[in-house]
Amino acid sequence: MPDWKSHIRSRLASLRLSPARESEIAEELAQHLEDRWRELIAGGATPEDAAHTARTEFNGARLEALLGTLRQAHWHELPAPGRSRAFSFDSILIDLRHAIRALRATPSFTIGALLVLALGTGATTAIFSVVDAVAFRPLPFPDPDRLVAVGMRANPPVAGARAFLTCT
Amino acid sequence: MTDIDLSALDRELKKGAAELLLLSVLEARPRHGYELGKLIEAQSGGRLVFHLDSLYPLLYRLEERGWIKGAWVEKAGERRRRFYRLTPTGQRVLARQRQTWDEFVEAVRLVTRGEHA
Repeated sequence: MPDWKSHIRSRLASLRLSPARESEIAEELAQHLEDRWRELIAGGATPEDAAHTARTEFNGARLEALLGTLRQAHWHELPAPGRSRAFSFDSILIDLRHAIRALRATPSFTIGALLVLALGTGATTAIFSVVDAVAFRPLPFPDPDRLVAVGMRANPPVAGARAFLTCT
Repeated sequence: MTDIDLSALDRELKKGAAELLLLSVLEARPRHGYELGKLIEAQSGGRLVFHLDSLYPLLYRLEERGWIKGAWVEKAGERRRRFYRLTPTGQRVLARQRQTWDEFVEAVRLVTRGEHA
């Protein structure tokens, strides 16, 4: 009996079917060709003639073109952990869809994660606002770098202490 | 005035008819691909022939739309086969397509035979 599966597989190679789906399609279509081959033999054809007729009836290019328009022919393999993959907008959409499905499937985790994110963002914003106003922003006066602080000391200096700075 | 693209019309008609044919023969009971092709050929008196290269892509397309559902069935002493059955959505689509097709055929009949009535 001809090896119909290999014959079909050669036509599926250019499509991006998942390995499992490709195997299923190859099995199903090989069965169809085998059925046709057996039918031709039952009708009086020699096995060789039957194989030739079955092959002739099968338009591989047409099969490839028609299968290529299906969603299942655009399968994306998920990369192994730690392995990078080429950038594409399709892969971003797939990741987004996957993330949304995963979040929907675990609503309690999603709500918890959102609360933590909201609280974290709020706290960070509040702390930054204070630090920004106190430390980063210049004082609201002209030439703030020329401002000095002047103080007076009420007690006399300790006896024997040396003056380190003398203003004249 | 734009000419009607007859090849496109022909293509669309055939595509619509092919879908209707497959859904119709699946209405009674689940069947595998080869059986579907042979049944359509037999019931049409040999006028309609589905080859593998157009039959299976169409089955897979209908399955992607959720109109039919395929499943491998194993029977004792036989190799497993993928049988297709009509889904509830498929049944609704079949009813609608049947009505549309009947109306279309009736409209064409009225035009083509109207002069002789």
